Amino acid sequence: MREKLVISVSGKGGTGKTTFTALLSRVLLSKTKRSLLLVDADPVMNLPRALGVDISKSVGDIATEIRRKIDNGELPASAAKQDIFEGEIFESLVEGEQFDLLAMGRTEGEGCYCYVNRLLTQILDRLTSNYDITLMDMSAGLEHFSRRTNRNVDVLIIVIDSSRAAFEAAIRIRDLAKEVHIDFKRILVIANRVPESLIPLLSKGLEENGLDFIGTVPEDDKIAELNYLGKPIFELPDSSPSLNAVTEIAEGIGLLDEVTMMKLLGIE
Amino acid sequence: MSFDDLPVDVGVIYEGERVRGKDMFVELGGPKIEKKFELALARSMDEVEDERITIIGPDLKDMKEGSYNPFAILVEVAGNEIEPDLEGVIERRIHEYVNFIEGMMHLNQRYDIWIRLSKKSFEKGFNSLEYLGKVLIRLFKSEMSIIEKIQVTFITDAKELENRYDEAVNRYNERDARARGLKDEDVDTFYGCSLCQSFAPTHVCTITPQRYANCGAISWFDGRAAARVDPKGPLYEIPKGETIDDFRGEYTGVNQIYAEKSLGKVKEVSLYSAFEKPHTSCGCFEAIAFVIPEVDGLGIVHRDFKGEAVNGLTFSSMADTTAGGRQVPGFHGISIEYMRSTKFLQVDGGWERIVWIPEPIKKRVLEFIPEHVRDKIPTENDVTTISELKEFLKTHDHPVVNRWTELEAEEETAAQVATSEDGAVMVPGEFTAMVGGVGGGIEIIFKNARIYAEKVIIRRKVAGEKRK
Repeated sequence: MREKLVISVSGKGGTGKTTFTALLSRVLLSKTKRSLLLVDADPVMNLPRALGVDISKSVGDIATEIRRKIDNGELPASAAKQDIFEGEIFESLVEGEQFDLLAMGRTEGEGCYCYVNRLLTQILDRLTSNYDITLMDMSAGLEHFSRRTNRNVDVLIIVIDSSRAAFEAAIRIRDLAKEVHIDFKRILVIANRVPESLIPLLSKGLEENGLDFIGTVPEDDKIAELNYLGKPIFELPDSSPSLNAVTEIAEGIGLLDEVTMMKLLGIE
Repeated sequence: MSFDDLPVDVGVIYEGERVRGKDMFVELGGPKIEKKFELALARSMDEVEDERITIIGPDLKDMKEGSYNPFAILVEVAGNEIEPDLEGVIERRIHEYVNFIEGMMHLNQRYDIWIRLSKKSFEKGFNSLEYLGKVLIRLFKSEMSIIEKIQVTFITDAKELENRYDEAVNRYNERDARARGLKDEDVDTFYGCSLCQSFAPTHVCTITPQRYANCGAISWFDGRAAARVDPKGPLYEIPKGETIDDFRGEYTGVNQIYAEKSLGKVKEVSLYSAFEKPHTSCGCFEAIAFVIPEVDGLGIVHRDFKGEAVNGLTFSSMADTTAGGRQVPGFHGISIEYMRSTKFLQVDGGWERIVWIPEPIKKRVLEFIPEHVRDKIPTENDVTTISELKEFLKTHDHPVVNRWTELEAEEETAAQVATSEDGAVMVPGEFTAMVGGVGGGIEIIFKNARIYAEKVIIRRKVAGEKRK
């Protein structure tokens, strides 16, 4: 199977990860013909709404249910749980015309999840390998990184706002990524709703810390309006400044062009 | 083996391929169809017409694009070595082989099967289930040489499927009943799990048909499935090797794996004992079997039990003593499922040695507790202290009470030794003492020690009592 790209969007809570993920999805869908899997890895699960998708069940719900059935001895004795789990996760996948979406949610209840998480990693690896691009909206926490395996080519995008905490979180995330040995092909930083006047200073700060600053998404009243109304990002007018900015960013990363995309994937 | 006569490719590279909703030509079975199944059956030689493919109901080319269809696959095999016990293994291969086909996806099993065919493959000419039958027959015959004859039937007619559905379900139930009855003696391979080694570096979980993983999540069947998919992964085969003692659950293969994986820390294990060379405990166990020395019995406490067990200790404080991949005699991490096994702590006396268990767990495993001790094992609702426990066991004539007289006799001999010769206690070989009472967490091992003392006082600290 061909090489696949996994883009993870991370950063401190409230910096606009979900909005950026939604904007980037829209850009990828309108400017490329690539198949796209969106994964909402944030237990709060905001991404489905930002994309106008309904979720009936999260992966966490399924894992919790499997764990419960294990405890009560309700699963067929001679069937392997990995097969049962895989089928149920595929069932929870929201299949759209343009993209598919998987909501991770969270597991509840006590008991050991080592085995269930291990199965999950395998199943997700297999699922993501079916899409040209997997775009993951991560939680503010960092625990998800340690759960991934790095079979795919990874790009990590860290979203920051103008707060010091967001800046420090970016550095922590980068360090952690190294610690858990995920070989990110690129680690990039996006500034969201940061005042123009602050950009030079911010840019310098990032550079000093060896972080690759790739672009800025401006404050956009239209997004605030959609957010408030709970409407999907697809209702944003084509000419929106935020959409233009994310298009430029996507171009900068190399996602919109066949040649640069191949390069990103390491296929020369 | 060649598939040149097929309109699409067949090969391992297509495994893991998913057909997305918008790319699919048809769905066979799946969540939108109530009844569907796949079944492998062991038949006698004269019942199978070799390589026959039968399609009952509409074929792929008769189906509407984007439709959801009833579906059943029946694989009937015959051969000298073919027996019903192999049906499960053969049936699971259907999943694998269907997934080898370009543009075909197979998920789940039994009455949950979910198959999709992509538009692309249909357009390439994969428009008949005949092709699917050919793939299955060729792969089965080349990969499982014991199959001498094989015939495949596809059912897409709802009514015909309905007629055969109950028979299939009965077959699965029979198979599960057999699986539940599978004994450690019946297999020559166990499975090991090292998923917890990051918490407990010397821990190896041995998973046998009669001993579920400590976490309660992984059965022998899960181990088999995982080791097949990823033999170098954290779940791997343990060849049982020679049986040293089948009552105690001692096998050369298990010991060898322990020695390797624990880097020599643990060399021998008795699978069915909490006291002697016990199986190690990770941090994930669902429950702890803990010794209550006052009554020479074992209590059980589970993770969800809030408050103190009968010995005055909570699950978490005992878990600290138990966990970490060590062999701690008398503190043994176990799964709930293991309590349903007939080998459950059999070296120690099994259920006859269990003297206390929380009510919720007792309820869950009640039917697996032998009838003659069922009412003799108290819960937190019956007793809350050791003295109450003693009284309960005595009045209910619990089997451990018989051990008490033996114990007293032993203590007397020990006391005599203490006063011999020049006042020094010679401790031959290895002597293990638990200091600080139950769950104190310190274990002192004397090896060929010589101890001099004018006077030795060892007293048990009662919970809540201050040191004097």
